[in-house]
Amino acid sequence: MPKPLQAVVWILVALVGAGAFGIIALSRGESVNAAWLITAAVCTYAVAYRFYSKFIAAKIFELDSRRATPAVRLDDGRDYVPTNRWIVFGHHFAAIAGPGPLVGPTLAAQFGYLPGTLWLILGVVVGGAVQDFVILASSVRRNGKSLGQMAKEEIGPIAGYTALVAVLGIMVVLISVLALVVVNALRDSPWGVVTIALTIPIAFLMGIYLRWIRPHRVLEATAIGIVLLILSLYAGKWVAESATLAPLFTLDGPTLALLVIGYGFIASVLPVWLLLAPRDYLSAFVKIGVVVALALGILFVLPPLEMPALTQFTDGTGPVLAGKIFPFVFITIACGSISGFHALIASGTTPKLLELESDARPVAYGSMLLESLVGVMALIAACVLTPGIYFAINSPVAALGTTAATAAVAIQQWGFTVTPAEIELLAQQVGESSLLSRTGGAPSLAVGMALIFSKVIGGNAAMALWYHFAIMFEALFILTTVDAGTRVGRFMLQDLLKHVWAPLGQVSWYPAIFISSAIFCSMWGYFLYMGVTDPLGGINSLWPLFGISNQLLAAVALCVGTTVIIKMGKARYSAVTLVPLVWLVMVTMTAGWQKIFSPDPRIGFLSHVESLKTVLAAGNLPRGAANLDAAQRMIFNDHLNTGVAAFFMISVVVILVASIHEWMQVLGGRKPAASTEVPFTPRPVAPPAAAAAVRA
Amino acid sequence: MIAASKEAVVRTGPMAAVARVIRQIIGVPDYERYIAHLSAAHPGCEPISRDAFMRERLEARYNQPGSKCC
Repeated sequence: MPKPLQAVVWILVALVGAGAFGIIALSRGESVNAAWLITAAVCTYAVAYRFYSKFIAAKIFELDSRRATPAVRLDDGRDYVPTNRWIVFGHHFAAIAGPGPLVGPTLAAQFGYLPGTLWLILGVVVGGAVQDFVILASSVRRNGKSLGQMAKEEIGPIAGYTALVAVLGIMVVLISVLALVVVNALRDSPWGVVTIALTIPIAFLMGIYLRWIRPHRVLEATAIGIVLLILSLYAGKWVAESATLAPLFTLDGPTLALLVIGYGFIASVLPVWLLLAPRDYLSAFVKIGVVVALALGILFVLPPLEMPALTQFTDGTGPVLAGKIFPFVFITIACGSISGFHALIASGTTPKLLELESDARPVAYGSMLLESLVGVMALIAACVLTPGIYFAINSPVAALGTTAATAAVAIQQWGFTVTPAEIELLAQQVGESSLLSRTGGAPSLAVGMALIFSKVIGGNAAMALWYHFAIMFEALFILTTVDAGTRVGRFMLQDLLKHVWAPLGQVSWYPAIFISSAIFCSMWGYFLYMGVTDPLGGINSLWPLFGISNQLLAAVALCVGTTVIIKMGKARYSAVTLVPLVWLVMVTMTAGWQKIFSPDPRIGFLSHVESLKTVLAAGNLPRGAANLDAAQRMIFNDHLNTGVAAFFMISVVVILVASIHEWMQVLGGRKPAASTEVPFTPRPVAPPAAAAAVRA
Repeated sequence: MIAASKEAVVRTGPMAAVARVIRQIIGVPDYERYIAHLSAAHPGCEPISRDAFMRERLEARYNQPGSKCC
């Protein structure tokens, strides 16, 4: 395309995007079509990718296709394998896209569709995609070093160790909150329980098939797995409709929590070929399939959004999550805008696969834009529900009471219209006994997806199947994070425990494996159980802790990125990482402070303790506590949560201070701006012999 | 064991290429690539069996953070 024409096209894209933003931001009263959210998002991504990511690639890292990447230089056919950029893109996207970008935006819909949409779209282009890109580029220049190693080498040992311990803490909170989302989705739902439970034997079957029946035919085994998955959906329906079997699989929260903890333990000690690997193949397929289906569904139906742009809950009284729009929107939506966890992927497998250095831009920046779009679609799916239904599903029992009638009264008091009959009809349509207070986001997302999908295929009659399909897909996603996360957590724990007693570090000694797995499972299991038995729904205290911890990791990544940029002699461009870093520090510190010290007992852990003590002192039991022991445990849990939040805040401060100290040293000339990059090696002109041999 | 001796035949054609791309995206270890690398870069080396390769790659993948996310 000739240059002037290109300029015209980009100006048009920018104008269309700005126009779409105008419509979604300024419309009041009449409902906005989802198409405008998608348009605003896609135009912003296109402009940011074309100009901002190019600026970072060209001016800061000077990415150079003539430089040999680690995959080319260290090619061993195992870890380091030069791979086509689109395959790396797919692989990287499948690794970063988990349940996070689905659940967070759904919960943030309580503030209205506008805050979440703006943070998803603007946060990703300035924050999340930049973080992923900078870390991937830094790691590629350092032979694929991990975030922890880079923190230690670039900033210093204190930052390195803090990052290591913080990652372990984050894993505990992450796994527990995701497990809580699954438990809440499956509570009292025989259909869901049977379908999800069947995914475990399906994985075993695939594992056995791959090992003994038709070894290494992965795609065959996966195809069989997908067929069985669909059958398990019907098996669940059949059980739910059977008067004798349904009660057997109607489980309450605490029972489900214990089952999920047991599952995590077993998954982390079994050989990976039997359970984890086949589940992952299945989940990667389903993940990409559902993302594409959701996009097509939204484009085909173009649903209007029922949720207003802003609700009154921006003032901090929200029933889904207590807390004001700042900082809590930015904590609730982590994945999709900026997610520290991605820094582990961008400095894990991906840098060892890049064939060309310049591929880092589409792979890291591009994948993250796509993940943000997934977040926007999840937000749309939540906002196509009427606000009355949305709050009936997502508010805890403490706010709604236990019947459709009390719920309708409570929701009407918030100013939204819903009747008990509507709530009951919808539950009946999706094949559940009740949808009330199914907190955690997964069920309301599933209802939204079922509404969209059933408009394309099947109509109202298919609502129940689509709902349980969506639940199955979310739970499959989440359980693959729970099992793989528990396994990795177990290894990290063993790495720490070996300093206490050396044999505990042996990764192939069964007593050490069992002990460390049991310790790690009981760590996240405790938080899960606490969340399940919390009368406020658990999500209210655990999801913000997860958001804070994830954003803490992002702060670590941005500190590493800033240090790298300064040491490259590019301090004049350091605002690229400093701006999102400053924002995240403000967000995490404010949120952490409020979670601990807020005078509102629904937000602050310490004031919640005070309110519990007041009730106890008056000789009563607090709501949700069956006896004095339970009340004491609630107080203990509040103190524990205070400790966790304080730990994350202290970690932020330690790493930030260590980083600023290092920057001052370098900028003040007291320390040479020495780069730890591997020196330039030219790329062989012909493609590597091995790659050519396979292509032939 | 039977599995170790029975190596899958490397197939060609568009379907095989599509299957290869899908396998790489969902993260199936690439044994053909490993064999090709060994024969090109270390011609004297005895490659490990497909079974051993798969087992080693899967262990490595699930033992460290960095291959999976929330």
